Amino acid sequence: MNVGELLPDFVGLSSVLTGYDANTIAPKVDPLDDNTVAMQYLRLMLAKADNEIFLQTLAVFREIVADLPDAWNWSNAKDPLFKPNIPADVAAQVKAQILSNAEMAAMSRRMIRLWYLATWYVNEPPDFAGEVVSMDAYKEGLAWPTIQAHPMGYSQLDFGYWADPPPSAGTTPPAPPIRSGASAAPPAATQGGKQRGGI
Amino acid sequence: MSRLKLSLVVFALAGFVALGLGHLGSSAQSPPAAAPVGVTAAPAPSCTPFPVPTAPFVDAQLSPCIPFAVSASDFASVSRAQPAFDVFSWRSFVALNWPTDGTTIGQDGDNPTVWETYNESYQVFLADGSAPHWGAPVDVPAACKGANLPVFRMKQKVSDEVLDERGQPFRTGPLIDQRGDYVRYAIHLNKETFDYVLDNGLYNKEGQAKFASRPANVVDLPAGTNGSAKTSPVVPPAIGSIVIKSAWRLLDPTKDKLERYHKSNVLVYTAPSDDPPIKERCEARTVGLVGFHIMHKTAAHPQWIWSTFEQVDNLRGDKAAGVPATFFNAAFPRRKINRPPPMPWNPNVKAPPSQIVRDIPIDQGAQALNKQWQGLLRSKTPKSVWQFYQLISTQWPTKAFIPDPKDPTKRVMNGFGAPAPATLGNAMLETYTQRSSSCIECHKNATTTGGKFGDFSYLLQRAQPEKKP
Amino acid sequence: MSQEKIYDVVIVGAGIAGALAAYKLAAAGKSVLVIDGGKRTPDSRDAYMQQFYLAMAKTPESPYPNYKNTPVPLSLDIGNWKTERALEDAFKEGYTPPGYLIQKGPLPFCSTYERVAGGTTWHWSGTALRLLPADFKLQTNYGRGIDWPITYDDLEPFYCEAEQEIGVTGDTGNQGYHGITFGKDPKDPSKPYAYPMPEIPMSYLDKQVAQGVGSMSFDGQVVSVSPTPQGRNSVPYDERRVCAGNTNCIPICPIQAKYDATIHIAKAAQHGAKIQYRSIADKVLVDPQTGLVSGIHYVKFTDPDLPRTPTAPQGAFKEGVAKGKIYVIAAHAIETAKLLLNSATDQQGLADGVANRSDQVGRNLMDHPVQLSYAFNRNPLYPFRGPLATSGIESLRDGPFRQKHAAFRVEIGNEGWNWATGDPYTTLNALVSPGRNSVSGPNHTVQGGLFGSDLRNALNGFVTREFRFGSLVEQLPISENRIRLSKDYTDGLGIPRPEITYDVDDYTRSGYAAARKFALAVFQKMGATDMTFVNDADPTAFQFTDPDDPGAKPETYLLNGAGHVMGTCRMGADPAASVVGPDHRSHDHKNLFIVGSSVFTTTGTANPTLTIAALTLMAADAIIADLK
Repeated sequence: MNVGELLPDFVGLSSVLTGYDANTIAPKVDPLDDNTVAMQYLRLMLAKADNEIFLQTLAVFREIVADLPDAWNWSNAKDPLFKPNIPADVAAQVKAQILSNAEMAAMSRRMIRLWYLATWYVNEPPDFAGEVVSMDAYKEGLAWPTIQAHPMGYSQLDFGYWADPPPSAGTTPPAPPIRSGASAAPPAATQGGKQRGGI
Repeated sequence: MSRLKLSLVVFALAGFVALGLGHLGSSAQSPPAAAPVGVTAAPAPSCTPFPVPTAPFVDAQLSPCIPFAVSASDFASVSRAQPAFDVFSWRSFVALNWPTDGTTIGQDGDNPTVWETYNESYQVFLADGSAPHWGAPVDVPAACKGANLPVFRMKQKVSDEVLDERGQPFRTGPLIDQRGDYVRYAIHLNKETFDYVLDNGLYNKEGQAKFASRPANVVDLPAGTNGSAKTSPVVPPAIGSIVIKSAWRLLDPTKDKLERYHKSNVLVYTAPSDDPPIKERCEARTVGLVGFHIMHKTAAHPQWIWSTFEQVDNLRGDKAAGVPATFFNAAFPRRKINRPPPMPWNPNVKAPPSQIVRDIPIDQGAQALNKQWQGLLRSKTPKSVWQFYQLISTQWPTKAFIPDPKDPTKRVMNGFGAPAPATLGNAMLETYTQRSSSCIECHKNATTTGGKFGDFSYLLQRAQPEKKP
Repeated sequence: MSQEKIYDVVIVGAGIAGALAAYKLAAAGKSVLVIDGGKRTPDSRDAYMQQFYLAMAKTPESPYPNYKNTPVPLSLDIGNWKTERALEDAFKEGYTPPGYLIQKGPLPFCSTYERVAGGTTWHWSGTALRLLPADFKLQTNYGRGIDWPITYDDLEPFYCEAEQEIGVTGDTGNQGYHGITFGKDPKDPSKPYAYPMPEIPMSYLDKQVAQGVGSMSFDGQVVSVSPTPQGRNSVPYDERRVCAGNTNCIPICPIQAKYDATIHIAKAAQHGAKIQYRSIADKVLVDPQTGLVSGIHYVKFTDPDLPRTPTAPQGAFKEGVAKGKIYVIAAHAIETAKLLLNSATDQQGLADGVANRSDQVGRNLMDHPVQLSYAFNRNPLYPFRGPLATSGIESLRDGPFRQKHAAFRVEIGNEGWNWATGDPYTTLNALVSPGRNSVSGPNHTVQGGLFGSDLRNALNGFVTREFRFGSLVEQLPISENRIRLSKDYTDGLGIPRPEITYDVDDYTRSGYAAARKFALAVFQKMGATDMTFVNDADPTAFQFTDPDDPGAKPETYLLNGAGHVMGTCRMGADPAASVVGPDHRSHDHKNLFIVGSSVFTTTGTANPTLTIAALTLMAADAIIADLK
């Protein structure tokens, strides 16, 4: 199998699932060249996820975007600066055709966790077991820009920046409703709790 | 407070040969005569903007024109873009090492260079905090004025006083050649950089504080550009801030292959220190260039473009030419590699030789370019010392800008800018951190003495308090 | 055993106490040998950074080595301590608890430490607070604990020296609370003292909290938020860079903008001190005639992961005795006590160990138990930006209430709920998994199954509003909070592992309850929503009932370690009740000094590193005087 041939579909679906433009998560000019984080994740999915379901998921996605104009297609993107560029109907189709299927939805959730946390969890939903994909992947985890911060241990900012809100503060969405409920599932045990042990 | 001051200063002696040290011999083996103080080698009027080269880079040519910038707008991938930056590096190397006497580079073997007419950091950030003058003569430490030393005219000084002047950044340790001698370092900055520092009063601590007191003020050194005829007004091509960091080893005229080094006759000065205890010392020596960083800020690459070169014999030598490696000894295969010598470090005392290997090999593209440029130098000027230097790589930001979060129609500098290659180290300058060293990621932390953004230059934190008369 | 050179000073341990002692003594021209159990630290910290990046659980220990011969306690062990305890009891023979510390309860000791050159300063937070004058006189002022044999004024010049050595940021103008005074500029006595670097700016989050606190009182104290003096660079200092706000002081600063003790190890070596790595001191030897320490017995090993078994290759282990005129034990509170206890012989007076005629070695183990309270603010506070903590509430570190309950200081975290819940990981995973999922017990649950911009918005909306208080609560010296040598378990070298009994008394529990009450009061004032979840079944849970409230029910709290391991060799004037005197000299052996937090008489509420440094610099002067 030519892994590179799967890349556009993988990046396209990843873009819809993560809510980040394809050019942001998989820039064409990338210092990692042929070992980009996108390629690392794709190879990892092929190596560790159920291949039949994974390839099926990509194939369904390929069908969804088959008729879209090339301007959307990741491999033809020209703008080096990211613009949120995910047509609403593609997201709706992904929800209807992929996330409605339990197995493909689980596959999609694995992809989201990879992109946001750079972590491959053995189980889906996750428990403690897993691995961080790579140092480069950790630094590009999407959880950090989503919370308008930087990966812990990897700041590209200058001394004292923390005294002010982030430059992107104006884009912060309104507060989600905070709810509590005793019936919820327990926390998906991940990297939490008791671990600091020192201040 | 304890402050490690491995102050290793090297002064050049003009007229050194004439003063009785004539054993240095032929012109190919003797250091070139010094250039006059304060000469600024401006690019020749005919210098044109540097076009983005395309494979197979047939445009290699020896030219005194320092390239202004790399126009990087439409690269398809990093591996396809890299050669443009590597050619930029080679062209910069040739132009900066161009002779100041009107001859062609290397036609007489070695030659005095343009960049050695630049000022060194110690000439800019003066001990008393006073305003510097471009090319002004400098006070020589008393230890260098010994009875056996003639009065001499200053050409250059290789110093090693604060932070990265100590040769290896952040106390990672000195580099020792096979004779047990410490490698010495120098930092030069061009007139564009000098003028910016002077014009903005950044040459002393008080000036930096005053500059920073205006909130809009951010250190923003001049940026090179290929210019544009399409804009109004027309933007002329310009050279940006260039900073050069050089590494030198002490040469033995009877044993070393002098014809393979760019050389300088200097006073090697070790400044005194209490913590750690180091005695002052000054010694006249011939030194050879072994490592060479060129940092050039350009408008398209505000994280700067980082070119780095080494002398070819550093790690491998040349078996065919009977030249042993300078920083590796194959006779001791069990020596620990890339490890600093045991403490205490004292340049006045011979140290165990370093056993250095390159952690990340030079990529094939740079290797091919090295062959091409070394061949060009050899064919035009067979005696040229410059054919014995090689490009290691060029680091540049692949994503220099992002949209301004406050106004997406504008763009702002993007942190580290996703540098390519991700790591780059010179075995002479980042010996012990080659594997993880990233020029841009480290220099992004450079600040003024007040902790403000220093535009990727650690030089500004050398500023001293102004001494009131 | 090989014949060794006789040094002026032999130091055991290359953490901040050993490093500063080695540096000051070597700079004074003394010949110094430092023995450390760790391997030589890497030339570049990137080796540790790589281990950090790739660690699933980014605990304080995650970047650092954990070898069979020099095992370390792990934060992840703490949750299993009861299980380990039960398994030990059930399978007395043939079961070896995986955790290094043998926890005997009734509560687990929750703090950890490193066994590598540089010590636990590799992952200290950088908080560089002085103890308060009142902390030295707890008994006199409040009838609690005991007094130190020295006063704040005795230590003040050494605080200044320590702040210069470490490189501390701060403004004396806002640090003079609770009677803290600053002397004169050591370089120019005509000027008042100034911290060596300007203050690190308060984070946006700090400022919002400060605004929210406004003017309020608690326990009779006016409460305010103040910037924290920090051992990290605000300007270039000592050839190190300024802080870039990597938000990673714990477990590791990527650029060494934060001080760590490898700096003084290197400085000591530049003055000729010898550092001997991969060597575990296991016995302090005492001359039976003079009662003086005559040597440090050590085991040097080639491979720290190779246990010392009969089948181990020859030459893998070498025993030796390091000899000096003066000996300094600086192995951190637990290892120092372990070494002294392990040195027991049938020589007269050494039946319970070296320097232990008082029977105080290993006793009075203390920490700053940390009460974590966390909440959502109404507006975004943008956590995960800047150093882990840049401000705190110091107002409740002293007051008449100390007659009744422990004092505490509140650290305001800049890392959201990272410590408390493991965010942003936990929230992200809860938003992705299908169904309704918990982030903080039943207190905070989220609707999962999100993707795309819904996911982005939800993650942002929750996490940008997170903040937490960590209240460091004072703990009193208690005789039965102690370490002993395990009779059952050893490390890879055959040295007994430390066995710990530990509890938290009502004074501290009451302080814990006050800290919780205080956090709730602030949250309410700010309009923030408390989200703290306490699981009664947590292996660190303990109860407290407010005795002043007749209707009060037992409340459950969770114990957290501050990483502040103190006590075990306390300083005092009375040889019958303390291990060292005010000059850090053993009451029993004139040429033996003990430095580090093991000598702390009481804990106060200041993070201990700065006090360790100041005390060590003071002790070094006594040693230099001895050698004259």
